[in-house]
Amino acid sequence: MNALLAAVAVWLVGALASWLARHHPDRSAWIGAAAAVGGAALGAIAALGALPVRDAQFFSAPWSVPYGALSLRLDALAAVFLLPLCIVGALCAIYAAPGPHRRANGPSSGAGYTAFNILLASMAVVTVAANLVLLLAAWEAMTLASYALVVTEHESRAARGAGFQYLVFSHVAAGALLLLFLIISGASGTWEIAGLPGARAAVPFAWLFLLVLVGFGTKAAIVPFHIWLPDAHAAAPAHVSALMSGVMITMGFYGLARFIPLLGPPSEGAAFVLMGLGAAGALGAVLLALVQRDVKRVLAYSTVENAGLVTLAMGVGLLGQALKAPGIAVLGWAAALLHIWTHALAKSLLFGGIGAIAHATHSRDLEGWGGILARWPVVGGLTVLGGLAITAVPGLSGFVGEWLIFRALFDGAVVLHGASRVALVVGIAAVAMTAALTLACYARLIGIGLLGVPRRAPPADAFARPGAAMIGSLAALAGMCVVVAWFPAPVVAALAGPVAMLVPAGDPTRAADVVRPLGGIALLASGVIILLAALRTALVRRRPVRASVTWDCGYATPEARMQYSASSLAEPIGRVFAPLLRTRVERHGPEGHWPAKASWRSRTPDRTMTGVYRPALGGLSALMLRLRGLQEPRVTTYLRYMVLALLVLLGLLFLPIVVRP
Amino acid sequence: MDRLGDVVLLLVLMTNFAVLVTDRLSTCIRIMAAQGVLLAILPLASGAPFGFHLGVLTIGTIVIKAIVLPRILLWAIREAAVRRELQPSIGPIASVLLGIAAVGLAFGVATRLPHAAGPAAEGLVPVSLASLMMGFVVLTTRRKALSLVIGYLMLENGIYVFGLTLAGVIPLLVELGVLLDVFVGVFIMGLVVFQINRELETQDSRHLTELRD
Amino acid sequence: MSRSSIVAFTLVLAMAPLLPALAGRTVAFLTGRRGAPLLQPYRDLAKLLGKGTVYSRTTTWVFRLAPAVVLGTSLVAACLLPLDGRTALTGFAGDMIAFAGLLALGRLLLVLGGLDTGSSFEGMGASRELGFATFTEPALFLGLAALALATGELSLGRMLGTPLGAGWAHAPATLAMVGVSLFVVLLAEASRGPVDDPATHLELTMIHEVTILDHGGPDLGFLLYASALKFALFGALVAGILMPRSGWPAPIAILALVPALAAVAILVGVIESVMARLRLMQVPQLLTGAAALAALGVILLVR
Repeated sequence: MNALLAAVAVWLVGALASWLARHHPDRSAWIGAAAAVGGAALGAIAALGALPVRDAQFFSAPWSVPYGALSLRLDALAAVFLLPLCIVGALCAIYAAPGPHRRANGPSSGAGYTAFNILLASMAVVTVAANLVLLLAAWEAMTLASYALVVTEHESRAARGAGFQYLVFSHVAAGALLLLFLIISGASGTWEIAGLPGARAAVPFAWLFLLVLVGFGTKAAIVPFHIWLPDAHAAAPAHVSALMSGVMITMGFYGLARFIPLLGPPSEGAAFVLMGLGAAGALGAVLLALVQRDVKRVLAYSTVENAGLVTLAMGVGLLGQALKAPGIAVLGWAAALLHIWTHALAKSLLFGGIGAIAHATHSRDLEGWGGILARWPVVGGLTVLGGLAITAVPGLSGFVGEWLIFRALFDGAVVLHGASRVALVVGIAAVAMTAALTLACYARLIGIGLLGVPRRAPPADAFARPGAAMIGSLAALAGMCVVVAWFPAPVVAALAGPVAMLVPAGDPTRAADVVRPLGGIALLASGVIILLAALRTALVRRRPVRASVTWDCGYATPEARMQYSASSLAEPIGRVFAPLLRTRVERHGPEGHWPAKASWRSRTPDRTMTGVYRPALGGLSALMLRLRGLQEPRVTTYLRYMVLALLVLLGLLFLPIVVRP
Repeated sequence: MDRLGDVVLLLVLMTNFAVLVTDRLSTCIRIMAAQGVLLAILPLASGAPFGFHLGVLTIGTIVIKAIVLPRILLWAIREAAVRRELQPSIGPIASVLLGIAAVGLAFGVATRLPHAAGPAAEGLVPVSLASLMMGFVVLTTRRKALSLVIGYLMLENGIYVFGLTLAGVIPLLVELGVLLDVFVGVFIMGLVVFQINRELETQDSRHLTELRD
Repeated sequence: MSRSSIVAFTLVLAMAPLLPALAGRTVAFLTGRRGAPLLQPYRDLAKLLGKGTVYSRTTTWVFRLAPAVVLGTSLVAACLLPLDGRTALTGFAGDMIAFAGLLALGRLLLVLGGLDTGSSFEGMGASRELGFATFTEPALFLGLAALALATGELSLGRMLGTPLGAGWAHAPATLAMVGVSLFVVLLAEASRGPVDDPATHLELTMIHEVTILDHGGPDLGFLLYASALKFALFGALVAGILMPRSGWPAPIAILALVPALAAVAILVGVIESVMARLRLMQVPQLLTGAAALAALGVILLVR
């Protein structure tokens, strides 16, 4: 616990110091990065210490805020979320560390580190807050700090728009949380989380569940509350997107994992809702990822997809608990937590690699990329590894998480009956299709973006020698991706503590036993592949090996723009799913005998936005316009309103239903 | 219900799916004819005692469902010169998914229904419900008038299967009456299709709204 | 790992190149030609392994690594199947997910290797490969789910081993449907008609052939062998479901694999000669049909 307090202190002091030094961007950035790393090291120590321990560590101090107290509780569930926060946070800080390769961002870079450190500190406090007011305050600090980071490049209109949208959605969610906390603390009479269970709120479970879903699900990017994420992730700098995508969304899942058990006994209905939202979200988001042109939006939608998978796994865990099948529940929760870990690693690696390439080529347009791997082998290679890791193919980390999700679904389908069995089999089919689409999505991102030859000439100085800090941080992430895949059992065994908290009736070590053979398969496959590669080298060694052009079918002047484009690669899939995607195509075909110009442009909007939010918000703003009539340019009118409001409030005191404090 | 009856019922389901994915009308009609044969042998396959009642029913079903009705419909499409369902409002993939959902729902509902006719109806009820719902899928997603007739037939076959659960109870005359009813219905529909085609030069049922006084 | 499983594994590895040849020979017979000798693929492989190669200047290590990965993953996937009808070389609960995952890794590298050349032809093949996989994957997993429900087991070795016999006793319809469904998956995964046309000679109409267009020498040998092996694996999977052999004496169970795989290959050849290749947009429909069949099998087991 002391290590954690020290970590938070280091982060906050670092934030303050880098703010004070903001007029010297380099110095400020150094201070900020050093504080982020130092704090993260301390935090990681605290998390590793708390992870296997059954008992929580407490800290409490008085706080002047009403109902608030600076009470912290570090337990295994908090540690699960704290650990990736520290690891990814530190590596993101190192990745973005100032160096000769990075052009100065002007005064905002110092402020950027201030917000970065505050974000780390506030997320850490969210995981350990034991008091609802403190949790809400930290939650709000997290939102504001990340907002500041999203609008780092505030010169761009898109970034400002994305930031505003993020702020609006976050605050609707925060409103839901406030309401939830008021209800549950009103029922139990305490603002300490530890005192909540047992008390029965007068509000039905379904409403509370909905509030949890809106409040925490928005941050977790559960469809349909994900809409802020793609814009915000695309607008933010690479290391911020990495931290938000890999870690900040997991705070939402932390909330779900912490508060759903507090609402009452696990319910089958809630489990089905989570599974349904998760499966639909994963499928829909990966389809959208597949058709994006902006590389960072591809990654952002892929984050939404993975959030869907985690939600689905949590649903399976909940289903197991509701139906008194602790074996299934253990697998489901372990799968959710493991997938959170593996996704944090792979996605930050990808955002780092792709972000560096986008920075170097001054373009985020996938259709202009190509040939990066040949020109920038180290960064390109690490990015390819990240792509393989998130595609969930054997031998890298993503597979372990996804395998465990599949395993939980299969186990449940065999053991459970009736509607649950149907839901689980539908889940299997949905995850299978999601996996295939993810593979297509990353084959497109890597195959079109990094392989082949550049479709548009990159700037002359694009592929300078990458800085050691950046390469080091990416390599560390890649290394962890490999280690998790090759030695899955110890990693999953580390999750036994939190899983035991979530599923008290289950055998928490089961998940580790279940994944043990995967390490063997990963090693076996790697061994066989290495042997075959060696065999191939030996076969080729004594024979003539020539370099030539790609087979061009005899065409005399092939050029780079004739390569297959990202849009064409995804087109067959897009056409099958056209009724869902509603891609709009603007096509101007060649005309006349000597056609000069033709164009083809496609755009796929997010249908949650165009179909749900836009009409709803449009209606809301029309309603608000009507209220404009209440405004008059006279002070007396407003005074009248105030008197009226006062009278109404006083009048309420005479009603019997109001409880006076 | 013994094994052979189950196989026939599954084949009935398969023919329903085949109609869902087929857009060539003549193929659809032939599939429905095959389904007619399957329905006719269903009571025999599920081990009902052979007798006069059953013999008449089997032969009547084959004659009407597998020979006469398909003939009429084939004649109608030849006269009207339509071959394909050109613009179904949803594609074959979505139709199949809807069909699967219908089957799933039917099996789910069937376990919750009280078994009026005892264990003999175990496979019949879900298949009949599934046929009903898949008939509705065809009726609501296709536009050509003839496709609608096929959907109606599918729906009716579902009812026929349901009727078999009560085979011991219903007198022969009622069943034959139902068969005749369908026969007359489809006969009239075939004629109507032909007439629509001659009057409007199209079979698109959306154009029927133009027939207002 | 038992002796019989090692023997069966070796047999399948040795027999794999025979299957495409047998399918091709069937097509030739039915169309009134003589066709290539059955041992031709072995000669082709031997020749390819002894040749040098030509690499495109645009390619990187991804292109060179791809053949080893494609072949390696198929080999490891083969270790998970109980080829002798009772036990696999290695297996664990949930290994069917690893089976699918390994094949997915092979597919990913195959596609990346193709895209590494920067050729439009390879891009086209990659696009189709990825598009079809979107539909084979759910069909495969639904089939596996139906198998798991019918046998109550979670590993390929057990699903296709002794419990399969009991499965046939109480869920024959489901298992038959899964067998048919996985046969359709085989057609897509092994790039056979009516999904792909292995005999075509126009780049624009190919799928698997065009994705490996720029590979030559030992690389091409690896890829061709891997493709044949995939054919054999899915053939063994279908044969294993439709013909439970766990009760048979080990030598017969292993030897029965030869006529079973030959029958699958001949059936593929017959289908290729009586059916035209489907239009590309119709392939997803076929594969959805396969998935629907497997789903129907699952529904029958939901009580």
